[in-house]
Amino acid sequence: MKLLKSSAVLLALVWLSGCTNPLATKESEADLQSGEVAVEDRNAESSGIAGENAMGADLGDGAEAQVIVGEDAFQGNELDDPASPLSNRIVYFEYDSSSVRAEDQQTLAAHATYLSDNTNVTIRLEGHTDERGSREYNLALGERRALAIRQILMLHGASINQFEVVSFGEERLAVEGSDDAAGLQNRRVELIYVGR
Amino acid sequence: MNKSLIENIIAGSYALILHIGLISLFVMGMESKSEPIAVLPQVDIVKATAISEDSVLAEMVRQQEHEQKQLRAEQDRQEKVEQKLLETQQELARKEREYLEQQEQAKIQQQQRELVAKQEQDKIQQLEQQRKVEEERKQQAEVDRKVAEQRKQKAEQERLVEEERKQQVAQERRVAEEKKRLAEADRQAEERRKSEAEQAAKLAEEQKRKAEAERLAAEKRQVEEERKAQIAEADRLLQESLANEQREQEVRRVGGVVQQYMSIISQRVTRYWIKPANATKGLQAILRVSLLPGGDVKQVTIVKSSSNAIFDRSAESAVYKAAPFSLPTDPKAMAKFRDFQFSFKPE
Amino acid sequence: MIKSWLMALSLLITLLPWQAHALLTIEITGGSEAALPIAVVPFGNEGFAAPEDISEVIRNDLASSGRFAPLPKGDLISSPHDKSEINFKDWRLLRSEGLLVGKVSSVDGETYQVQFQLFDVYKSQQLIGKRYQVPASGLRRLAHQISDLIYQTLTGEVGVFSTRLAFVSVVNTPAGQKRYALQVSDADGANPRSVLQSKQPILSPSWSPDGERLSYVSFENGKAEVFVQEMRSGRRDSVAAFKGLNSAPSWSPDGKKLALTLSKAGNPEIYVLELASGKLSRVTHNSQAIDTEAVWMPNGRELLFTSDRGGRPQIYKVSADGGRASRVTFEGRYNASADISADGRFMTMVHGLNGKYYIAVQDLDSGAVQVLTETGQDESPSFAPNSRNILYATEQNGKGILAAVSVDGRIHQRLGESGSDVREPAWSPIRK
Repeated sequence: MKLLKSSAVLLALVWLSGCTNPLATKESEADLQSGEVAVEDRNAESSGIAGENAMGADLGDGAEAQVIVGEDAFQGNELDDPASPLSNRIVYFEYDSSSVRAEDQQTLAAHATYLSDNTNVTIRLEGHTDERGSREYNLALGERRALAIRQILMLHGASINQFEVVSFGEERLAVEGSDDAAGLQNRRVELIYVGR
Repeated sequence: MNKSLIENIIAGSYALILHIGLISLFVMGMESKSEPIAVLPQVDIVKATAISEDSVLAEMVRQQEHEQKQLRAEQDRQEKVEQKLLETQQELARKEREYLEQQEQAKIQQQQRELVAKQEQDKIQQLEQQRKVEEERKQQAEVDRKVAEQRKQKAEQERLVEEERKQQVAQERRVAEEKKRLAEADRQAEERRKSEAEQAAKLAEEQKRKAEAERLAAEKRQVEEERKAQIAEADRLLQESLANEQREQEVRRVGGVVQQYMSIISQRVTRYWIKPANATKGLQAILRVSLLPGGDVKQVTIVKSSSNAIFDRSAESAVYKAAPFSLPTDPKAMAKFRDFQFSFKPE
Repeated sequence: MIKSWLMALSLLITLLPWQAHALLTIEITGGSEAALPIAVVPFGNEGFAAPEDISEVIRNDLASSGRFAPLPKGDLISSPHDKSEINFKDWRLLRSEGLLVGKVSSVDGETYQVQFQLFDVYKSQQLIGKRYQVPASGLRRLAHQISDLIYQTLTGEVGVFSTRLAFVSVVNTPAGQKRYALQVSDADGANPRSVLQSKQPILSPSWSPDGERLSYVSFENGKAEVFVQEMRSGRRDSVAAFKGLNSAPSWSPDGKKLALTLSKAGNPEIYVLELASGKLSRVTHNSQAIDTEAVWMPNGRELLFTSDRGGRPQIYKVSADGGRASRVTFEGRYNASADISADGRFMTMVHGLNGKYYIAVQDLDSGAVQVLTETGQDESPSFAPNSRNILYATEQNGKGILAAVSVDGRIHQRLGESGSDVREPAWSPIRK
């Protein structure tokens, strides 16, 4: 039994490591993009400040240096990269279910990797439901969904003290309405990086 | 006119070019003649310094001969040039003449062409005039025809207008009559409506009053009928009982009648009883009732309370509501209902 | 010696009915369950006109209960204002059992004299007669109190017209934000006033048995926490702010404990909190299931709660001391949000049928279930303290409204005219 369990974890790890390579190349591409964005941002910032051209130029240089150095900007910008699976911050659920769908597994694996690489980062998991049924039951259901996500992230290497779990039940609908289309949008867990 | 002007200009330019050509020829001729004259003395001076005394005479003779020759040649050349100039002048005069002739000829031709054109023009104008006259004539005829027609139409129209006017007058008269008639009808209708409304209101009121009276009457009647039916039924039973009197005891007969009336009364009271919602199982209220001869309630007293005041009161109300009760005519049976009891139970 | 005398007396007493039995006795059983006809005569007015039409408020109260059938105004044959003006024979013709008359007078427009009399029409007898002096602002409340008196006198049950409703209203601000308010209104939904306002969600209000305190869930600190608020002073305390969920409070019948849902141990479980000592005891131990929405049985020893331990949400019963839970609902795939009538006979709950949610009532003895509503978007049922009506939240034109239905499903009523979105109603206990 124990053997089975450990081999399952091993499998997961192997699968994860298989995933990291393509992820890594994507990330380096992402650096350039995000670096450019950073330069633009700095320039924009400096041009916004009247009479501080010298300062602006310095900052611009600095930003370029960041692009070249790369490594430091890497962590901060990775989450902002729209091409990264980390940009997916919402996981959706079936009606009255807290099971994670297969297509969300990769997204969650990427978040887990990020969390295990950055142990000082904490993430808030906000569980939500559609508006059908009892509010109190939905409050519990939202929490169960958030906990299901936490469990998957922890299985992939995140540690328990990196999480805040909160449920809003049906109190914060993404879309108003009780029809099926609204329900699809509302049954969700939002992954929110704390302090970002 | 324009054409002849351009032709004149062209002709003039032509003459001018010709003259310029001739003059330039002249100038060129003069220049080529002066050149050798200027060169010769220079050659002579250089040569003279190098020649000896002895040969001078021979040379002088030779020189004179040569000069003679040269003079002749020069004379010949000049004659030729003059001859050529004369020829050229003659040619020029001839060409000028020719040109003037041509000019004259062209002018005459032009005049002739103009004349022909004018004649042609006149002819066309004449024909046009004729056509116009013809046209006008035709138009006039058409106008005449139209005028005639219009006159005819106008007459027809006037006739129609007149007719229409007549019809309109008739129509107006009819409309006026109709209006008058309608107004009258309206007035009558309005009057009728008013009176109908009044009637309806009265009727409604009447009906309402009647309905209420009827409702009450119907209720009374129903009660009465029920009672009558009950009485009839009871009487029938009574008759039956009486018929069986010989076979049955008097007491049993009366008992049967009483049973029948009890059942009738029970049904009636049950129907009027609004059972309180809090009436729980096991409750019982016993009410003692005394009736007046007509069946109306004389007195109701609670001899056994259910201990639920609402339940007790609901039972009392039911008895009052059900009254008056139908009673048997048989004195012995009726006596049983002067003073009797109800037992109320929720189930 | 005395003993034998008593014996003889009791014998005599027991014999008396026997004597009566000698009379003819007609048995009456059954009877109808129709609404009681009552004539409510518009009250007379002297001096300053009253700002509230008291007799109209009473009339509406009585009619809304479903237990009374006030005669149509057009059928009233006269307008008496006290006994001397009443001809009972006339009223008997109308088959009205009760007759209410009264008058309102004021010499200054500030203080009002109100008097009323309720008569038994058949016995020509006064059942109640009272006179009050109230400020203008107290007229409406007085009308509800008179309704309660009439209701109690004629039905034998407690009236709930002067009880209150607590509910949550939501308003969208022009800036696109939501403003939540915990509100308390009259029992007919009129006269709502806010007792708490928040930018964050508020839900699950629960009245203390004395009606003096409300417990509720507020997200004001970013997650669900349980508070208790005193109605008179407005003073409020956080009573549960553990890690995870703190929700679904329910007062014990003695008012000393709160049943709660806490997920501090990792999963939503039912706990009981002793308010005075703060002692917390865990009731359920099913770590795989959601256990929530506990409510106390009137005996104060058992709880009903919602659990999906069977795969789908259903209602279960468990001892408040813990132990094995037993399933209570078996009809339908979804049963949640239970509430119990004060008499302990009925349970009401949200009953899911084909993706729609209705208010249903289950007879706790027989287990028979009756669906009471029709809209399919109904939730948060709450029993009236007299066990006769059920208050619930539903939707109309995409907006939350409050409605009530009688336990037998015969009387449906919409409450309040509130323009805002309302939800999460809770019916207060009888005002002591």
